[in-house]
Parts: sequence; structure tokens; C-alpha cells
Amino acid sequence: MKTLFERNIESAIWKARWSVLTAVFCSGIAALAMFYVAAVDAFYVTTELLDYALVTDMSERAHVRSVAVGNVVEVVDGFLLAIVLLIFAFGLYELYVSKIDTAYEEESASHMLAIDNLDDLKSRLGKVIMMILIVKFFELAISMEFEHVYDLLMFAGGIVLVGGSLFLTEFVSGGKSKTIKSDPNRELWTDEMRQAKRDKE
Amino acid sequence: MFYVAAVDTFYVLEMVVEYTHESDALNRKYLRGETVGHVVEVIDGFLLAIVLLIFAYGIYELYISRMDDAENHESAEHLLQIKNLDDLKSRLGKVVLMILIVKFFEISMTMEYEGVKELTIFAASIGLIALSFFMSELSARKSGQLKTRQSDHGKRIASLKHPHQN
Repeated sequence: MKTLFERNIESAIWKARWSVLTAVFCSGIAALAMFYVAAVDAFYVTTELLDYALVTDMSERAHVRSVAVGNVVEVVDGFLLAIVLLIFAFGLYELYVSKIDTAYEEESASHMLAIDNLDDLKSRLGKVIMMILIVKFFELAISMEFEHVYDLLMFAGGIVLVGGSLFLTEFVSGGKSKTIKSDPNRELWTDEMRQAKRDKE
Repeated sequence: MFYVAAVDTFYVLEMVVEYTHESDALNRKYLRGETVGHVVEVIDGFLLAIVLLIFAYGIYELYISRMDDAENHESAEHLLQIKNLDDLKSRLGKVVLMILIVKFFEISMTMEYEGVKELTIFAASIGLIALSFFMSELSARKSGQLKTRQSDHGKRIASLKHPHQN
């Protein structure tokens, strides 16, 4: 038989899980910040590219072009990070606080709520870090000058290494990735269940 | 840790507000790299906080008593996933690994690279990081502790269908 004291302590401890809510809000805010940064980047990229047709010098155009490609990849990378932050926020809420009922009736639920457990949260963060590092490598590589054949060989070695690390991270997620067609959640909510939920309420 | 990470988020936000006014491309690039680094740091902080929470629940459940309130809740499986002492240890190990990787990431974002040789070395270190991820993931899968949200969902629907059983 539990004493009153023990019961009070237990319910207090269990309610402490609501502190995860700060994490949910903060990663939501960080997601908004990243969306904003990426949008500003996109704006600057387009304004800089407006006078691309006016650059007549060949080598100068090549330079502008490589810079622009790097920036565009950076913008996409920023959006990816923002989306992962959003998925992170939803995942935290779902795992540790409670289920979002309205979300299950949407089709995009299984993509927005792609987090299945704590290890998933971690591996998602890891994958984003890998992606950002690779984009960084790409940016550095595109603005680099090569003089010798030896440099070229080194560069090729670097590309192979990056490819290998992509392969490893991909291998980790092997088979787990959800595609639009194999959306399992779509089948899960039938009309009958919705009715049952309404009855319960 | 929740508090620390929340404060970090606030400062990131403050930094980002000035982002539009930065018309110099080089400055913007620097600011961007810093923002990304801080954002990753924030997530890392939250991960650590959650692991601490799980740790606390695990210790309470293992060594003091079971929590009645928690037993029937749907997020119980995720918060009370510590089964024994080894579990506690491996959780801690994984978090430490994650923090180290984030640290590597931060350092590499602010570093300057010159020459193809350094580029190749950078690529090699990316490969090493990927390898350590791979190994930690492999060990997580081998221990078979993959509890999925999907299975939660199945149970939930079952309880909606047959409300009398609960």
C-alpha cells in the first residue's frame, strides 16, 4: 500500500515531463529562425543573379556562376535544417507529452511525425550534421583552385571519402525511410475509428 | 538543461533578427555559419535534457518504486525505457558521443581551410564521423530496443475500438 506522500511525489515527478514543452517551443522558434535565414539567402541570391546576363567576361561569369551554385545549395540546406527542426519539435511532443489528435487525420502526418524513438531523434540530428558538413565541403571545393594533377587526385580522394560517408549514413537509415506510396498511417484511420473517437468524446 | 537550451534559442533569435540588414556577403556567410552552429547546439542541449529526464525516471523506477500515474499513459514507453543498470550506462555513452560530434561540427564550421590537402583531410574526418555514427546506430539496433511510435498508434486505435477493456 502506498502512502499519500509517495503518491504525491510520484505524480509530481510524472508531471515534470511537461518541461519537455519548452524544448518543443524552442525548436519551433529555431525552425522559424532558420526558415527566415534561408528565405533571406534566397532573396540575396536572386538579386545578385539578376545581372548575370550582363557579365560578358567568360572567366568572371564562371566565378559568378560557381558562387551562385554554392549559395543555392546553401539555401536548400538551410530549409532542410528548418524542416528537421520542425520534425524534431513534433517528435518531442508526440513522444514525451501526448499525441496530437488532429495530425493523424492529415495525410502528411507520417512525414511530419517521422520520429519513432529517442534514437531516431539522435540519428536525425546526426544526419543533418553530416549533410551540413558535406555542403561545407562542397562549397570549399567549388571555390578552390587546382594547379597540379596531384591536387586533382587529392580532390578525387576527398570526393570518394564524402561519398563513403554519405553511403554510411544512408545505410543507417536503410529500409526505414517512408515513401509517399507506402504511407502506413493512411490505412490506420478509417471512418469507423473516427466515429469511435467521436463517440468517446 | 532545458533552461540553458531555451536561453540559447533566445539568443539565436536575437542574432537572426539582424540578418537582413547584413548586406555584405562575406559577413552574412559568417553570421549564417554561426547561426547554424548555435541551432545545432540548441537541439543537442534538448537531447541532453531529455536523456537526463529519462535517467531520473529510470532511477526512480528501478530503485525506489513503480509509478502508478505513469503506467497507463501513452508516452510511458518512451520515458520509462530504462530496464537495467547497463541501459543507464549505454544511454549516457550515446549522449556523450552525440555531444562530441556536435563539438566537432562546431569547430569544423569556424575553421579556415586552405589548399586541397586540407580539403581532403576534412573529407576524411567527415568519413570518420560517419563511421562512428554508423557504429553507434548498429549497436542500438542490435540490442533490439526499437520501440516505435507506429506500435503506439496501433495500441491506441485498439483502445478506441474497444473502450470497455480499459
